Amino acid sequence: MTKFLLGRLVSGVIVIVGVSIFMFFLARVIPGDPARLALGPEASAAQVEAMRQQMGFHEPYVEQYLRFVGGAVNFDFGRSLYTDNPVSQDIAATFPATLELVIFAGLAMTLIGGAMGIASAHFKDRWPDNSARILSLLAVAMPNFVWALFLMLILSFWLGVLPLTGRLSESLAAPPAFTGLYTVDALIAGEWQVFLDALAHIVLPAVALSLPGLAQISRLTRTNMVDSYDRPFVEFARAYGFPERSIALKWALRPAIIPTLMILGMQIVALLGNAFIVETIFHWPGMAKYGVNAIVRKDLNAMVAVVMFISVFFVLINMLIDTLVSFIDPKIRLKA
Amino acid sequence: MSNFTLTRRHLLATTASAGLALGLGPIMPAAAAAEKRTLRLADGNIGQADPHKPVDFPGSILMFNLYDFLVRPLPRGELEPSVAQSWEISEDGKTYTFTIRDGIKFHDGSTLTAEDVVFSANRMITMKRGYAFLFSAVESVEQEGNKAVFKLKEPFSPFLAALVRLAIVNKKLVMANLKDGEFGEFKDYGGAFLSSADAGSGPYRIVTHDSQSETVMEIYPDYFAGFASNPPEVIRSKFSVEAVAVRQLMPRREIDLTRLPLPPEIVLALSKSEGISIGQDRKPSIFHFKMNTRKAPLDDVNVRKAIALAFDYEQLYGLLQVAGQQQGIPIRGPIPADVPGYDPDVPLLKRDIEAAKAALAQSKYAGQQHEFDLVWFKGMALQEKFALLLQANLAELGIKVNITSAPWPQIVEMATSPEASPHLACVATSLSTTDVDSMLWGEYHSSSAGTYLSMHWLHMPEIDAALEKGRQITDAAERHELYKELAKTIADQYPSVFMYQGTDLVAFQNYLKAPGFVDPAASIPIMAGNYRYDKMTMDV
Repeated sequence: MTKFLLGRLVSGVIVIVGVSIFMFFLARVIPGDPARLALGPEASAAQVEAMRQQMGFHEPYVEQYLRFVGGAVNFDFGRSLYTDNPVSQDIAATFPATLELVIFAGLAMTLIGGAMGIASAHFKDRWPDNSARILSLLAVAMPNFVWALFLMLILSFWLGVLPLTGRLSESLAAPPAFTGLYTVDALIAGEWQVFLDALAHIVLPAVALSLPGLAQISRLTRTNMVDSYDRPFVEFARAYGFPERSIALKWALRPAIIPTLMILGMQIVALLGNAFIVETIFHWPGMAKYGVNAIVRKDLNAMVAVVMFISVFFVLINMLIDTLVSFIDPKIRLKA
Repeated sequence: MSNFTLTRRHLLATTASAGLALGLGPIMPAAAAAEKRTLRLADGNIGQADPHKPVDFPGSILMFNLYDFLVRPLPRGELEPSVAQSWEISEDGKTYTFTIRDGIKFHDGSTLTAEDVVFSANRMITMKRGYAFLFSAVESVEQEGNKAVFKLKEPFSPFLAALVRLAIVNKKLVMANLKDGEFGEFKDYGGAFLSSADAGSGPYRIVTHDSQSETVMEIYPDYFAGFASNPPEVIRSKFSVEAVAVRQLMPRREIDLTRLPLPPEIVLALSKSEGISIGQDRKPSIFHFKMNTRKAPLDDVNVRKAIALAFDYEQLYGLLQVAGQQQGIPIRGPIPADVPGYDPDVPLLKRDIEAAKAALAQSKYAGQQHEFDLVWFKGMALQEKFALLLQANLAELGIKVNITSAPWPQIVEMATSPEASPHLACVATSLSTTDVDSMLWGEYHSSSAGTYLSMHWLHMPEIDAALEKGRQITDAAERHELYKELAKTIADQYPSVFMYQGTDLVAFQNYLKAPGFVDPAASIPIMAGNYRYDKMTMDV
């Protein structure tokens, strides 16, 4: 097991280093002088040069990269050219909002998508399966920004049952920061009104964000479970008279869940990037929007830092999923 | 199936409850009505709180409301004394002495003095950020009792107007909050502190500031210049708001005022919503097709003239109409209306295809086939319509136009050399202060070449000389005549298709009275000049 984890760790570090090199140099070769962009067209040449010096843009790329790596290991990514804050401060301020959104969207994907998949497989070609298939197709066919607008229009604008934008109502103060996740912090502080309000605010963006992934999880679980039901070991279990519940959740689902878990890992990380549009529509102050704005404005330090952050998150989530899968399927662990 | 416990009902109930728990969640009432008059602004960008760093719209709104200035801009670009009770200009035009008004208090209760003015000017000049370029002529700033004395390296008549960008910060408060930095004894010059707090004496003060999402300000009742009746007491500036969210939030009274480009369909929808009006923010800006005068065949003035004459201005004005409002007014050359140097007697350029063909025939490239690259900024969808219109117009002259859109960083890169600049670039230019020099210098002086403002690459010694002279003359009437003549010189060179003077459409609730958006005579012609909350009234 240790060997397995070490292997995953080494490959994760290689991925992170590779991404850092790629992003660092890519950020510098795309067109546009970042200092000029930040200072505006009327800034004098002296102003632009002063900012280049201040940001270290005049140094050779390799030196800049080594300085970047030295800072990054201490969570220091330099200053944002646009907000003028330390990038680490901006990320610390925006990441919890995105993480909270991703957690809720991930939960929706796993629980609703998984349940739909199991139901579809078990009631194959009957109405629960057909309904789930139609819902999945709708969820996949429409991009999440359309879902966002659609849900917003119905549940907020017309029915007025859920808030339109933001993380919390204006009349409420954010709970004392512990994790940065408003729902969790409100629970820790015992502020029920804040908890319910934060929950009401996160429902629409989380559901809108989760729908395409949810549909994918549902379809994948169904397909693999249907396949499992045709396998001899399920026939064997039935022949021995095991209860159907046990056959469904243990014999059919267990082998079927491995590809689902692998996809789930990818989907959860993809949510970080996809969250941009949902964050924009719901005025959700998250890191995905910050990252995309950094790219649009060529805010070098911020764009590299955000991509690095997502990469580390990607590696960690995949390590977690790999470990989980290795527990479910000993063959994978033993092969490693 | 007799012993099957995972029933359909069971599964569906589980799925439904998960869906309800995650999909619908608790139904919450809307936020309780605020007790104070609260103005919620939807801004499309993010805002920096440090008044000496940003050059953009949200930063300017914060600057004008949190801080005070020696002089403040008025309608028609005039200046009124503010922190400076009065001032004297030496005969050689190199020394400006400002007498500081007594009794102005910063938000922490301390008194604003000449020392704070000196500190603020030095902070801006030393940090070389934001509008520091407006103060490049300053040699020294000194305190003499209750006076602040600015000594210039040479006469610089736009200096007084530049002071509308010199926010005065509380020296003691800033010095008490220094962090490590590169400015010697001034460390970071309070950069970290002022990025989230204010040290001003303006009509509003910061309660909380998050440059990514929202700034909350509250009224500063002791503001020395007073307020309009029933001014907003709390301001919530929401950043990075999208037009589509505004469309849904405004009818629910969750947004009171906008500051972001609104697509025509959203303006139309909002204008039909009960209780919402559409107004105009008339900041002086010009939309151009800049023509690269260093690229053949646009190096021939006749070809440029032909393009300007072929453009269908009437059709353009039609494109600018939304919900009974104009997003721009016709322009008569390189100087916007109501700015010194503007000549209302110059006739508007009209489409004249025969004259355009005649001009083309007079060029050294007569009879040749031409193909131009036209680039527009991807962030402004309206520009694509302008580009398509020009493309159709030039097809009548036998000129082919290849249209491409580019993100802003790419346009900035293109502007760095004549070779990289396209034949035609759709860009907007505007004034930084109330002085015409703050627009024309960046566009037409050869020392400023290499930015998107000068993508025409028209640099001539006589234009340089006129711009330099304009900085020396102090007499307003003489300056007006000089810039009028300069505008004619520039227009005769056809460096741009001067399309129109831009007007931003603004949506606001009817209970909000913001004079600058409804009355052209009350409009302050500077970016964010009409977003002074102390001049607004909320009848709620």
